[in-house]
Amino acid sequence: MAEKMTTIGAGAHFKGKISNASTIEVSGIVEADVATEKLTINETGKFGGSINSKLVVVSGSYDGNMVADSVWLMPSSRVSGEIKYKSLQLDRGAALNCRVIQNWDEKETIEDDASNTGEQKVNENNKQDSSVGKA
Amino acid sequence: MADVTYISPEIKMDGTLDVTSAKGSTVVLAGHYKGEMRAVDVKLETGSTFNGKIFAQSTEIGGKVNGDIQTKSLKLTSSARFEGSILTDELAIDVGAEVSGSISKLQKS
Repeated sequence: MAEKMTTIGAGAHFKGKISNASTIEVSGIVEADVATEKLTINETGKFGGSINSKLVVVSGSYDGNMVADSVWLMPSSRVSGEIKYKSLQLDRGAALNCRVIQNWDEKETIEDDASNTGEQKVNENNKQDSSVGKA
Repeated sequence: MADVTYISPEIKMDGTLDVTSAKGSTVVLAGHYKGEMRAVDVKLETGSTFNGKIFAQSTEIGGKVNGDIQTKSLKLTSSARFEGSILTDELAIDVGAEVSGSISKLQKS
């Protein structure tokens, strides 16, 4: 597993394009557009550019447009730009300075779990109902 | 571990990678890279492809390389396929390596 994972080390600075990746871990500085399955930005990591991924875990800093199924923002994370997500975990301490959109476009999402998207629709309806009630 | 940069076999990278800011930093390439690479230690594994320029202290090549290399010490293993120019002080070429291009000394004595 560790052997298969692409790692950008703490002292590394990469600028360019990354494609055909499955798992990427960033401890250094990356300025790139990436499509991957899992992307981790470590505490020392800085990422600038667009991300299209199933899972994104941020402990470092991020700036750009992110499209991800699951996003986990750790306490040390700093995020600016835009996040489009299906599920989001935001830890206490995370610095979020961005536009956040849930369930960006259902047609574009990966159709791996139909029941999951169904649940989220119900949740949205509930939210709308409760807001109406308050008004 | 954190200061090692590893590029896995399936990946394609295009751009510039600079790892000279941290001492003793290593880049291991198993995938495909196009562009410029600056590091202390560079290892291009068997099956990797590299297209561009490398600036490093020590370099080991086991993959397919097309480009220029400037390094203090260079080792080409038996699986290496190299085309381009080499600038180095210490050079080792294993039996089986295919090398074509120019080889010259880094520091002229």
